[in-house]
This record gives sequence, C-alpha cells and structure tokens, in this order.
Amino acid sequence: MRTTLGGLLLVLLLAMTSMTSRAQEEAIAQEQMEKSAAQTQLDEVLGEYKTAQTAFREKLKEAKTDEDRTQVYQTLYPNPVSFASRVLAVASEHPKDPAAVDALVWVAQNVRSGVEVEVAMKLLTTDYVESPKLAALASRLGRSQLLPVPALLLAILEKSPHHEARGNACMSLAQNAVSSASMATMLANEKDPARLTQLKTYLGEERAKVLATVEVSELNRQAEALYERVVSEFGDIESRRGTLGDQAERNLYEIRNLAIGKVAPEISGKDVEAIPFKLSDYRGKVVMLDFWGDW
Amino acid sequence: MYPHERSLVKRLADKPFALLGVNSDSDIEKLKTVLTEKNLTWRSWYDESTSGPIARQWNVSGWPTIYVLDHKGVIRYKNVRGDELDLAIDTLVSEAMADEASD
Repeated sequence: MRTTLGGLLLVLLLAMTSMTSRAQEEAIAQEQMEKSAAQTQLDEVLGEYKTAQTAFREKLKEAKTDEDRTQVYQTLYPNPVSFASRVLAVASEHPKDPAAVDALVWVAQNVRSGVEVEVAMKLLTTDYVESPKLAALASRLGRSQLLPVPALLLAILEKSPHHEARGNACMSLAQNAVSSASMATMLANEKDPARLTQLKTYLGEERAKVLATVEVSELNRQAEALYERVVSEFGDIESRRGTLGDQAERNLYEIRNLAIGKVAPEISGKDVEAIPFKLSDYRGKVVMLDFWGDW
Repeated sequence: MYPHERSLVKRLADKPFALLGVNSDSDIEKLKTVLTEKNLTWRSWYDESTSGPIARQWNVSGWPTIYVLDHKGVIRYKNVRGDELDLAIDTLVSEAMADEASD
C-alpha cells in the first residue's frame, strides 16, 4: 500500500513537473514568436545576403585568372541594393520593433544608391535619432555623398542622448563638409564634358545641384568649427585610428597649414642613405611632393 | 606612377623643378632594391611607415598623395594626376622662370 501510494505520488509529481516545463516552453515559444516577427523576417533576409556573400567569396578565391574573377564579380557579387527593399520592409511593417532600427541601420550602412537608402536615412533622422545604434553608423558616413547624410548627422549631433553617437556625428559632419567642398570644387573646375557627366552620375542629380550652389569657403569654415567642437567636446572618444580628438587636431592642422595657398611647412629628415635634407633646400624650384610606397 | 614620374624628371631636367618623395615603406633594404631596379633617381625622405612623422604631420591617409608647390614654397595643387599634373607643373615652372628672368 505504501509502495502504491509512493508510486502514485511519484507519478503525480512527474506529471506536474512535465506540465510546468511544457507550460514554460510554450510561454517561451510564445514570447519568441511575438518578439521575433520582425526579427525573424530580418534574420531571414540578412541570412540570405550572408549566404550569397560566402558563395561569392569562395568562388572568388577559386578563380585563377583575372577573367575568372571578373566573371565571378559580374555573376555572383551580392549587391546590398538588391536586398534593400526587403530589409526596409521590416522597418516599415514593424516600426515599433527593436529590429526596425537594425534594419534601417543596415540599409544606411551598406546600400550606396537607390531610393531605399534615402528612405532609411530619412526615417532614422525623424523617428530613431535617439537610438544608441546610430553611434557606429555615424562614424561611417563621413565620406558618403548621399543627399540625406548631412541632415541625419546634424540630427544625431543635436538630439542624440549618447555622447559617442554625437561625437561621431560631429566628426563625420566635418568630414562631409570637407568632401562637399572638394566635390564642389571638382564640379566647378571640370572642363571635360564626358568626365563632368560621369561625376554628376556618381553624385546623383540632386546632390550635384546642391553642390553647384554651395559656397566652398563657407563649407571650409563649417568644417573648421566642427573639428574644433570635436576637440573640445568629444576628444575622448576612441576610434579605429586613435581618439577623435587626435584625428580632429590633425585635420585642423591640414585645413590651417596644408590648404592651397599656404606656404608648405618645412620637412626635415633623412633620405634612404641616411643623409639629412630639407624641403627649404629646394626654394626657387617647383616641387612635386609625392607621398609614396612600393606596395 | 613610376613611368610618368621618370618622364617628368627627364623632361624637366634643366628646369627649376624637383620631384621629392616621402617614402612610407617599412623595409628599407627592399626599398633600396626597388629604387635601383625601377631606376627611381629622385630623392625621398625615408619616413619608415605609413604612420611615420612626416606622413602624420601632413595628415596623409592615402597613397600616393601629391602636393605641387611653387618656387616660393606655396602649396598650389593637391592630388592632381595624369595630364592635369603635367599642366600644373608646367604652369608653375613657367611662373618660376618668368620670376627668375625679371630679377
């Protein structure tokens, strides 16, 4: 009798345990389903992109001749632009999901042309500017020529509560002003009509129009002020190439001392035979100064 | 770049012009071999690496980076290439020679 009772208790206990764990599992599954509607969708597209990338890299490694490599590029290179609309859809269908900002950041960071990247950048500017995920993105937009970049960076600088995001945006905004100034100069000075068309295609019609009207000296002043702000407010932020403060100091030095019209700073060092010589030894001659390496 | 540079140096040998390099190779022995084999006769400061003191001061982040200075040491062109580089140098050489003649 005792054995039977004990057995019964055991069975009951086991049943209860399994019920609890099943209920827990269901709850977790439920939660995952709710959480991952957008995330699953995003993982699926980015998984496809990753698979395509792996296949492309493997084939590229196998390719033996330049011809083979060109063929691999032409047939297998996974251009992020062809994944853009599906990634963007994650954000537009689930705007409140944490995956939305990941999707938009991916598009903004990887896609270089087309309407999707512009839409993604505008959405980040208006709806997600406070996300800490914009810090890394901000650091990578300094050289981008896309039209909505300055507005996005400015919004991050002004509205983000995150020090690193604001600092990176300030730095990139300065770089954007510098590259806008040099692009505007190039546009204004290009005499070859074929090359001018090429440049305009690269920039996009609207961006080229904007650059045709900007004041280069004003852009340079803006860049200088922004680099000064990086030094005073965001100098501590680490980046791949030292602190932002160091980088901004060097860029300020370039603007102030290495711009066209400035007297070149002295160079004093040794040649490959360890014989010392100076740039000022060559005063009176036109000097082509070539920073080079045999690699 | 080397053939273009060799021809510039040759073409302007008796003109007020100098090609000067700032070299960022890390292996100086290998560099010396390159100078001999490729017949690079112009002088370079040896800056030891891409983060050498001269490259850092001049904030260089891409190679080659080219500056063209006039005979007074003023920076007049940055990163011009090909025919534009020739035109830039020729313009400044004419200026230098005109200045010399008027002195």
